[in-house]
Amino acid sequence: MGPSTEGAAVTTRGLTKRFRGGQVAVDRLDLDVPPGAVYGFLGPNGSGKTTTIRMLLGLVSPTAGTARLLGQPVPAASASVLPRVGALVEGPAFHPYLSGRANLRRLDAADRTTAPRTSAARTAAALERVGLSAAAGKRYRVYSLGMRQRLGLAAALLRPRDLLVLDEPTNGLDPQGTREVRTLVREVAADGTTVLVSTHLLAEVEQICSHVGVMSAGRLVAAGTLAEVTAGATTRVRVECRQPAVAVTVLTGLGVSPVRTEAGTVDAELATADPEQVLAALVAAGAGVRQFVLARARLEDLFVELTGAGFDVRG
Amino acid sequence: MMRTAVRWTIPAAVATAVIGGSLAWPSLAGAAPDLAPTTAADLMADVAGSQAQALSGTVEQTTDIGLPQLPSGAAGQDPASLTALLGGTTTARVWSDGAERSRIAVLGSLAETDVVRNGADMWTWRSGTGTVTHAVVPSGRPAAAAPGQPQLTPAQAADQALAAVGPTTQVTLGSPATVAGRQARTLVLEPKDAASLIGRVVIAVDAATAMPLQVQVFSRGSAEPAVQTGFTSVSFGAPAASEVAPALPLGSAVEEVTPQALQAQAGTVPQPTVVGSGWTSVAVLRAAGAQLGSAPSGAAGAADPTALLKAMSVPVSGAYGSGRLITSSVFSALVLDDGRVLVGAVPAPELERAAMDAAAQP
Amino acid sequence: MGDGRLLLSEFLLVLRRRRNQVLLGLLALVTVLIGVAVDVSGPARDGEGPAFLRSITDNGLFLSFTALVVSLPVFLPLVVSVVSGESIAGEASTGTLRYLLVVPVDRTRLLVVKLLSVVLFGLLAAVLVAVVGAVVGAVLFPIGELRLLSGTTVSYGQGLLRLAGVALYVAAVLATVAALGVFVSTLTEVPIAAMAATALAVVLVEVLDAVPQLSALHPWLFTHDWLAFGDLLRDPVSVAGLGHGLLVQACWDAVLVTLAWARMTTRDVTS
Repeated sequence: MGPSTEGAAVTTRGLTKRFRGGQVAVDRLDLDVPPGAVYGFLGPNGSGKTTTIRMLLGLVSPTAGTARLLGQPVPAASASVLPRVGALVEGPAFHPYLSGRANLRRLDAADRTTAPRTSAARTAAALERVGLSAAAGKRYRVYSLGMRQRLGLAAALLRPRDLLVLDEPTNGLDPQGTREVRTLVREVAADGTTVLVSTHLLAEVEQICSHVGVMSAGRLVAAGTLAEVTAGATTRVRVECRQPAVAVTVLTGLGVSPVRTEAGTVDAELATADPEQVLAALVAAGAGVRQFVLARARLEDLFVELTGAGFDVRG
Repeated sequence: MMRTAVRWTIPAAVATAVIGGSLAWPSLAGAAPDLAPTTAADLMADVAGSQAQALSGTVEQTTDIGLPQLPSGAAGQDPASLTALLGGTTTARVWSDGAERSRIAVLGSLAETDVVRNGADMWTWRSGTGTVTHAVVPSGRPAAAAPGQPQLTPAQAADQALAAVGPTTQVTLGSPATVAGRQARTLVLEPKDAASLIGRVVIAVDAATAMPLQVQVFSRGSAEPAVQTGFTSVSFGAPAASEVAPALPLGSAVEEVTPQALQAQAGTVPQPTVVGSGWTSVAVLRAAGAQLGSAPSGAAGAADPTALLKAMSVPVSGAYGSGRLITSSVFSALVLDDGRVLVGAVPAPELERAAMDAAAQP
Repeated sequence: MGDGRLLLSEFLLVLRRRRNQVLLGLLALVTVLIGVAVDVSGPARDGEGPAFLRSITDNGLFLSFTALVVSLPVFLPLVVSVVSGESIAGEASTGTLRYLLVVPVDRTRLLVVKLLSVVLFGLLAAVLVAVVGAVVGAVLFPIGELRLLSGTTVSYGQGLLRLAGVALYVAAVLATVAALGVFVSTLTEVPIAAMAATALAVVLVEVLDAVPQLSALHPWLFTHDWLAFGDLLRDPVSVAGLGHGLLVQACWDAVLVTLAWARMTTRDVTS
């Protein structure tokens, strides 16, 4: 098996959830989130991400397998380990007729491990951190989607955490808000908190994540550092030339299978071929190369390749 | 974490314990005690010779004689009405100083009827109307038993049953029982005449005081009592004066009832003629048909007598005339259009035969 | 203690809910209306209307007892059905249940806190009816010595004490409705369904209790002894009926609470 799980922030072994209808949501999942990582948890809708997160947090009981958070078994040790875990699960949820502050005070009151005296200061600090101080007294029902998302983050950050589990944290946020969340995650990670973030914005993952894991149909189909995972993917080459037919012949001769030709452009996976040799061969054959671009594999391509699914962006 | 199935066994276990406990409780509480042997004759003599006891306790009377279900009394209605006593359970608290003073409080839902005796004075308080009636009754009658009032206490019922013991009755000693937490011997009274609807009468007699604690009347061939009256709790000793002689609202509010009025009210003016003897005797009341079914003292909440009679009876006719017949597991009654009422612990044909008896003619 | 904090938070949540405030207001209104109606139309005739109605003009304190008799079969259980049906299903439907659980709040602890807050709400409702009745009764009608069911009288202070006992007994029987509602509430994510099912279940049991052919079953129905609080108005106070009532309630409570616990601690929270 992979690296040592000692000190891992999240570990699952054979974690399985079969719902009552017989549908297998998570199938023998072995997940390892190293401490200090910002772990991008990817997968199309219905791939089992949310069910996995729910099992980690003790909301859903696993059919088989084990899970450990911060080294302790869950759900057996949930009571002692969950106070160190902040979570945003499937969007924010609060009492609509309570203010943002009152909602946070209620969650704070539910935590037996915090001191009642410092509750007001804690909630104020959390609201400040997500930029909601001005709207703290308003009822949750009048909050915009972005404000609701921020309040959810504030709840996850009510106290210092060792692990943050964020399910779609930028959902509904405007570009400015998205940037703020990204900054927030970086700050939190810089303090040494491990972050497990599930998202559909792959650009975001490439910007903030150190590790990724890709789920498909209940199984983990790729996992590792961002570099490790993307290394497995092939580099593509895009050739703009006067004679595309010649270019196709040359590329095919080199064992590079061209994928697309359109309007004077040939697009191909480079595989193991050396880009310098390819360019030299194209020039020698007189293809009339105008532009030769090497494109590192993008996570999105990799994702489509691994899961066989495009992202249907959630509304 | 406990498995799902294991967790669901806990409510299942609690439910089983509750149901099992409620079913097992009566048999646990009624375990047969170990008492020194005696004879039926000695026990009857003991009962006859027993002194009236100073006591306080709770008496429950349960009637299940197979009459049609009557509408049960609503909250706040008189708990001592006839309809309440013909079916179901009536609970009363009793206090007695063993001499002149006694009190029976018949408990109803948000209602109470108290009958308080002090020598010849008898006061009746009905919470439903907030009224007190006062009557002077001849002393010597059983405490608190006014004409038309139900024979609620076990001692009164036992006295009646034992007074009827004669050559037509076989008396045997039953197995010991526990009644109201007290050890008791039992007397079993069985009619020799097979025509009687009554199979046997079982009287539980307190081992220490020889006071009857419970009377059960079984119809022939039945294992469950048709009528049962008995203490559910009892403690011997003089009750507090405030309990046995409560301060009822006296003065101008008290309605005086003369003994004659009391009798008329209860419909006991006509003296019955008795046809036959012993357990199969039939009482014939003349010109009482119109009064049958009227609740004692015309209590609030009692159903309309005519409707009540209709609900409980079926029309009959024969050589004796025509009328309505009431049948139950322990008695039958024939209400004839000529005003005669025949009542007896016998099947309907026996009543019809009695109706044609020369002594029973109107 | 941490639990007191959560319970307080939970109870305040229930109290802040506008709908719950309206329900309490309606209970108070029913009490006031009875008082005003009796004041306007004069004393009821014998055997008319609910128990104690006739006595209100003698002693205003009977307004409290009358209002409790009137409210106990329908209004009070309905109010408790609404609050208890909401308890778990409401949190599940808004999604706040998952956030409470990841705080973390132990599921058993959450269930106990939810149940206690509903029981407290039932107590509040019963006390509200009693207090509004006593105050309105004191304003509109004479007060003084209280005539009990047994015909004897006790002082007004003693009467208030007995009223407090009656309110506590009413709260105790409402606790069974609360336990039923919380159990039903763990079964669904639709609070309105839990409220309706609870209220219907109470009405069903009351109907069963009124069918004479089922009389053997009656002593074990949880609504059967609801009016046993009348035993507190006897002289001397009778404890047998009250005791049986409380025992039956306790049996139902034990079964319903363990059912709710089994469901609560094993359910998958997927809302």
